[in-house]
Amino acid sequence: MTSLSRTIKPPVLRMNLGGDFSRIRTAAERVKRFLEDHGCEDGARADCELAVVEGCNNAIKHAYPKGLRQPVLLEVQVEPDQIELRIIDHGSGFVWPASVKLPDPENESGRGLYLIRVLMDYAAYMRGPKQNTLVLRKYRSPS
Amino acid sequence: MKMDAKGDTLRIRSVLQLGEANAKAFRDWVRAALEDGHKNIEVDLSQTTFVDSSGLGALVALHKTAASRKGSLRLVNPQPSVQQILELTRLDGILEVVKRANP
Repeated sequence: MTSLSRTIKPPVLRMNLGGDFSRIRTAAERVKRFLEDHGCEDGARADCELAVVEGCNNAIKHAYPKGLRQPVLLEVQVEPDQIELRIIDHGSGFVWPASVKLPDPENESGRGLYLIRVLMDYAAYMRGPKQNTLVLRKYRSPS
Repeated sequence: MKMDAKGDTLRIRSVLQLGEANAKAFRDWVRAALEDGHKNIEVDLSQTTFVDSSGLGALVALHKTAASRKGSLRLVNPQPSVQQILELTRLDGILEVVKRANP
């Protein structure tokens, strides 16, 4: 018997940043518009925008050996109860710290992972032989 | 971005974003504009819609530059999203945030 119910696929946005820092802001703004188009709340949109920027900056800065430019892929999936962001790089990756603390206030760097952790409800970094994936989730409040 | 000086304060306004792409250039541009009599740096953030960790790094660097001149860095009228980032990173504890009717 054929089921009458059909699975509705959640909307997904996919982009290739090409390992280029200059594309990150434009990509993050596209993510924000995509989330707005799919009814995501103001606060969640702003948090995802910043998390995308920090995650992509990190992927390009730390995952690739100097001079090597390989694509960084960004995927955004909107589901009724959460927004999932996936940042995929093909470099050597890095060790995701078990806990992330704020640096000394006078330090000029070291706040990117902390911002990701406090803005997102879930963060996991999966290192693999061919690619590494940073998965971030922001839970949505019921409408 | 625009810049002028009033007394011992160098003032910067019309900063639209502070991120990886422009944070270091912004820091260097402000430092290069400082003259001997300038102690304080004032950055009007009322038009700044986005600041990331690199932008925060540039603000911390300018805070240290002003402190080395016995002055301070003042952030004027940050938008709520930027204020939130300053609070989340607890930089509102070391960077002076000023709310003004006429920036």
